[in-house]
Amino acid sequence: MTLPILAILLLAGSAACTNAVQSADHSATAASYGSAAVGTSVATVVAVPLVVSGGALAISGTAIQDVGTGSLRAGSDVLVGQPAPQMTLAPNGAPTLH
Amino acid sequence: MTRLMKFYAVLMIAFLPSLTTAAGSSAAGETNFPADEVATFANRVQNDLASRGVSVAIVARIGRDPAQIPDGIRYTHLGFFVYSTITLPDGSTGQGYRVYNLYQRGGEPTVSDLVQDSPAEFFAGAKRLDAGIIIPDPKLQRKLLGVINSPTYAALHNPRYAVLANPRSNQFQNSNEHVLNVLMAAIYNTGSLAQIKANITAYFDPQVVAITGLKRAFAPLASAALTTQDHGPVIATTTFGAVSRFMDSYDLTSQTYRITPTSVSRF
Repeated sequence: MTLPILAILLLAGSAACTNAVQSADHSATAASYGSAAVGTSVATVVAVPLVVSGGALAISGTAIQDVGTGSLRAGSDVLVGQPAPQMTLAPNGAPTLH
Repeated sequence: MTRLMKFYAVLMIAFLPSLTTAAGSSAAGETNFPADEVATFANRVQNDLASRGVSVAIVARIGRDPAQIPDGIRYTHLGFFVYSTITLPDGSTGQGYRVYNLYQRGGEPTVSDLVQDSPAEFFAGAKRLDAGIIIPDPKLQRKLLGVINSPTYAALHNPRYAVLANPRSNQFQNSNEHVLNVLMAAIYNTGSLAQIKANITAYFDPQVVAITGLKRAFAPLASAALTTQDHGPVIATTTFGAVSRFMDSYDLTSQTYRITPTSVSRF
């Protein structure tokens, strides 16, 4: 009896089940409005991306402090023996913005 | 027999929380924090971005219990925050950020959709109010904006969802891989998926995820979205850390930092 219950609990915690949630109809938010709603109003939002210059936006600067969590240093071990799927084209040069 | 196999698969997965919790790319259904807390945090993030004059940022959230996320991975889901003119349902307009991202579909976990939502919606599904931020070089921001505003953005979407999708292949895709595809499209001014994958293979080091062979074999029986059939012997996927390292390596980043409800800090 214990095992089926355990199975149900585990299923409930699996990726498939915990992800089985639907997008909520939250209302949209604009930074300049100063508030973000996580309510349930039905939103019909039209958004047009903008190119902005730094000087045009002075809202509330936040100082950065150095605390160093190290999370960026973790991982990325070498891929020993890993095949390179879909390598059908030669790569371009290394990424650069110049 | 099939039910029995699935049952055993579930048991196996239970001892491998890292595999089931690596994704966290669902749209928010239930929030883990009070709505006003999420709203305040979302505003903190977008006000921070606006104060820096950011047009496009890559933002990460923790969509899974941090205790169960594999070593070396902090964040589970990436999206683009794009500074936009927003028209609300009542016709009023203002400026703010909209989030362009890929969500695993609720009823069909092996399928994804491209969704545009608000910062509050983006963080509503977070297990912790903690945002990883990558602000690309301004020149790259302009290029990203060009791709996001073009048909290429949707063309780079593969709706076949896998939690641990291999970014070197287009067999499956998760939210982070779509961000990576768009990033590569912007860097190289190309919409060619084949070229993008060739460049990812050559220059991007995905995050290795340690999973034993037995658990890997059983995982898809619990959920098809846990497939790893697009990988070789080593499983490696796209993460915030891997994208950060890649962008830092090639001088593509302006700033990388972390925002919590009480602090803004460098990694």
